[in-house]
Amino acid sequence: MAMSGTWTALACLVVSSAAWAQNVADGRDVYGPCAACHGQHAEGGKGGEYPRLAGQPVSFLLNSLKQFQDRQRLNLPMFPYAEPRELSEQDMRDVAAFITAIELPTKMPPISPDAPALERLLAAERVLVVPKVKGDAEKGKALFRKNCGSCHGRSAQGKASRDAPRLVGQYPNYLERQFAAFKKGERAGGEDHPMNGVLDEVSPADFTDVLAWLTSIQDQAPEPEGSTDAGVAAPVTPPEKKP
Amino acid sequence: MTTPRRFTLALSLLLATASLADEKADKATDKTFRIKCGQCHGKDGKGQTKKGAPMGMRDMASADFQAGSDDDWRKAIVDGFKREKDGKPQEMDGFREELDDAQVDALIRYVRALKK
Ligand code: HEC
Ligand code: HEC
Ligand code: HEC
Repeated sequence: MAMSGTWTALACLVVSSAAWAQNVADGRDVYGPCAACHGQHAEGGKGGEYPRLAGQPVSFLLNSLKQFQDRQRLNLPMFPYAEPRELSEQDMRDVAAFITAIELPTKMPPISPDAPALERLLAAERVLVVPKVKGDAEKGKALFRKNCGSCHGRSAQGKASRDAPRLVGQYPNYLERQFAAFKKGERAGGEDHPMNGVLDEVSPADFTDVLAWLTSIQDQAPEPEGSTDAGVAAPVTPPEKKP
Repeated sequence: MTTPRRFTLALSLLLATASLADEKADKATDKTFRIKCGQCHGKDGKGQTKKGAPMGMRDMASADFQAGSDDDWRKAIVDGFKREKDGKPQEMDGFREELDDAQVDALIRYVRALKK
């Protein structure tokens, strides 16, 4: 009995990872037309006119696509691509699975100099370094850690459990445009939207400082969620006290 | 006659400023709760949100929820947790970097006040 339970669980796992692989494969096809704007590797384009999508949490991608479809978030260039006729629920899940798995390094990975030119070219295409922003990065970090980290992640790497996108590695001028849209009430409708009210006390100068910090840490590994700046380990479940 | 009247006036003025200050603090706590806690607990604390419902969240006003001690609550708010309850995965972020002691205390009072 226990055995068959394990088997069922195992079979489920195999089936679901196979299904996931299928999602990703189908998603690659769905992504085809998106590449014209968002780039071959979902790295974004035109210096941030089209945002980077690579590595965003699935829940954020799905929410965004639904918002475009329902016209809760205006996006004229994407309008024809997000129509339900063009993009079914299944397509959305597939394309999100494909996009979330794309990793974009900030440095050229070590590749043998003997590697074929094409391989090196493909690796170079994936490297994304967004422009640095001038500002008070320390101030920006402090503001971010106090007001944004619990949703976007301490290092702004995004958090699926909060549907919150990664901000680090995103084009700063794109983020600035979104900041302005939130401030004007053009984006994030409704009292229940997680970003509602969050930016009330954040000035454009403050946001520039946040961008200065975000663009200064893009080549660093994210800091662990449970820690603090004081360096004191604060694990989610603290270890038992030893006598 | 004038003295007591002036006294009453001063007193009521004092009380008014005090309650105004309280109200301001309440408003700030209300907003903190909505922004930092609302996505899961709901701005009413009932937990019937897109994030909260699948985690099987209890209504913060319920006797069962209110049975937790202030210390339990403080620990949950500061450290957060990741656990499983009744077969449902539950996750709460720790807010040690986002809330100071006074804010945590104010939030605890706020959640206590939801009690039915
Ligand atoms: C014609 C150009 C174009 C095409 C094609 C296009 N997009 Fe976009 N997309 C945009 C623009 C422009 C924005 C930013 C809108 C804004 O400024 O708010 C955007 C935003 C997004 C966002 C929100 C990202 C964020 O961080 O806020 C997602 C998700 C997205 N697109 C997914 C897709 C997918 C999936 C496809 C293919 C089905 C696609 N897009 C095709 C132009 C395009
Ligand atoms: C309660 C959770 C929460 C907090 C706190 C929060 N965010 Fe967000 N943020 C989100 C979510 C969720 C989204 C995605 C919104 C959507 O899907 O429309 C978002 C989106 C954004 C975006 C748009 C990014 C994009 O790619 O479209 C920016 C910029 C942003 N947040 C900045 C901030 C800053 C700066 C702070 C702190 C001052 C902050 N956020 C605090 C949850 C939060
Ligand atoms: C990411 C989701 C999430 C967020 C955000 C969140 N919580 Fe929670 N919280 C939970 C879950 C899940 C539980 C367990 C609920 C249950 O078992 O009924 C919980 C339980 C609690 C408890 C009871 C702890 C105990 O020991 O019984 C308190 C008090 C609490 N939360 C306060 C807060 C406050 C205050 C905030 C905002 C500063 C907050 N929570 C933000 C998910 C969250």
